[in-house]
Amino acid sequence: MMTEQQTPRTKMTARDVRVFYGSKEAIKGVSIDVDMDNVTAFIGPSGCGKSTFLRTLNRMNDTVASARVEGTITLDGEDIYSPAMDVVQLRARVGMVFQKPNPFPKSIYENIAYGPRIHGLAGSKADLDVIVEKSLRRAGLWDEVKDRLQDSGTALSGGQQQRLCIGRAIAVEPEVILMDEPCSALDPIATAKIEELIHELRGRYAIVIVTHNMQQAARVSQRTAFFHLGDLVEYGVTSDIFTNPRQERTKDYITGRYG
Amino acid sequence: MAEHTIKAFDDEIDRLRGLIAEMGGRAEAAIENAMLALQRQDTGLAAEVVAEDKRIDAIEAEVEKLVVEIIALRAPMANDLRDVIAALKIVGVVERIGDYAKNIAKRVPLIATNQRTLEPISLLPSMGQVAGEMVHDALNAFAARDADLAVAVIERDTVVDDFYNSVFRTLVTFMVENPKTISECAHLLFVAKNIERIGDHATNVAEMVYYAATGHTLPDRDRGTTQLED
Repeated sequence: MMTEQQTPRTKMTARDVRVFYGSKEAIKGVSIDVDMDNVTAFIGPSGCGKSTFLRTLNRMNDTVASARVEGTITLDGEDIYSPAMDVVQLRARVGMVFQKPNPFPKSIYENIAYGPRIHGLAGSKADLDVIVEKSLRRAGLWDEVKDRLQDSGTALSGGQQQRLCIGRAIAVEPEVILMDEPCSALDPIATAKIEELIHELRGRYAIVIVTHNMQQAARVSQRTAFFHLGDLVEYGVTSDIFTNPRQERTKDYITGRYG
Repeated sequence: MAEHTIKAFDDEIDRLRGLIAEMGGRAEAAIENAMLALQRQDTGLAAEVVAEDKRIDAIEAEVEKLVVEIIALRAPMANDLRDVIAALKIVGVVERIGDYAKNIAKRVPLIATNQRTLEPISLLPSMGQVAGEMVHDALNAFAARDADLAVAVIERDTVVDDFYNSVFRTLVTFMVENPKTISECAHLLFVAKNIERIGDHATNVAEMVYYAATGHTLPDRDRGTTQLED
């Protein structure tokens, strides 16, 4: 059974968030809180808006020319869409891991060291070494790569590359980690390692994961949000969503009756 | 309810529900025939009830196997999950109900006494009928996913309990007045206790039906008024 926090430490809030691609409304007024103590999973069929919404949380949609975001999203109470917000800083605080592992075509060491160096988190080579080791340890990769840190990151297996990307996100000391289908390109063993890693990282970072795999949502999260056609249909305790969903649409989707 | 995208899943759920309906029907028939055999001193019918219980046991094993397969292969969720879990628990209980009917049938040859000397036996058929109806309704409630019917079954358990208390007092009084009938009356006491347990088990089935239908468990209720708990 999950351990319930009495008062979850709210990290991010979204209020009546709408996303438009041109005139098409892809997200239709979503309000949700993401907290530090629970892994939050976003589930829903393709095109439901779960990835689009995830991307609003660190302003990745800014890079899509036709995308427009309305509503309010805060990080520790601060509006992340305010003009005062430094987007580069924001994306360090709210890191992201993508569907396909995308390590830099550099050494394993450099993949981790790059972020802390440009963000000025390390004063010396020794500081950087410490950050690299700590990040790789937290990413569950250290023991596998400690003897070949100068090898190319792209030479690792898919699962190792994905953990390298998680390590890279961790290295800049984020507060939130967003994961967009982080295991869909991985085999079951590599997937299990990522899921175990998510479990270990819980509490240290607020984690939001988008997944097509409902079993994965059930395994890794304590809160589940079901999206459908741009609506947040239901958001609740994961075990409730999977044993006794309140909404008909949620029930049909998770029992395999959708469409 | 809408169909699953994977049709084979629907087929398995249908088969599961069909097996439970058959099992419930057989348990109900076993109760009815056991009581009939008792009233008519029909040892042939009693032997049939005993033999038929094997089929109830076989269905239980079949359902258990099917449930394990469904959980392993289909990873059922939400109401599907609750249905499957309830099915697994219900067959265990219905199997016990079958055993109680069998126990009653087994006593028929031991109560081979002229019925007229054994007045208290007259209360038992009505008691058996109520318990049989509870089993019938509990299984119907499962088939129809009818939480209200399940609650109605649970409420009826007190009727069976009242019957039991009444039969108990009657039998004790009768034994005091007719010491020669003590052996037969003792068997009848066990019969009454078996029927009372059938009512309890039908109640358990109804509680599971309620859970499967609503996703909530019923609050603990007053467990009736039987004088003797076993």
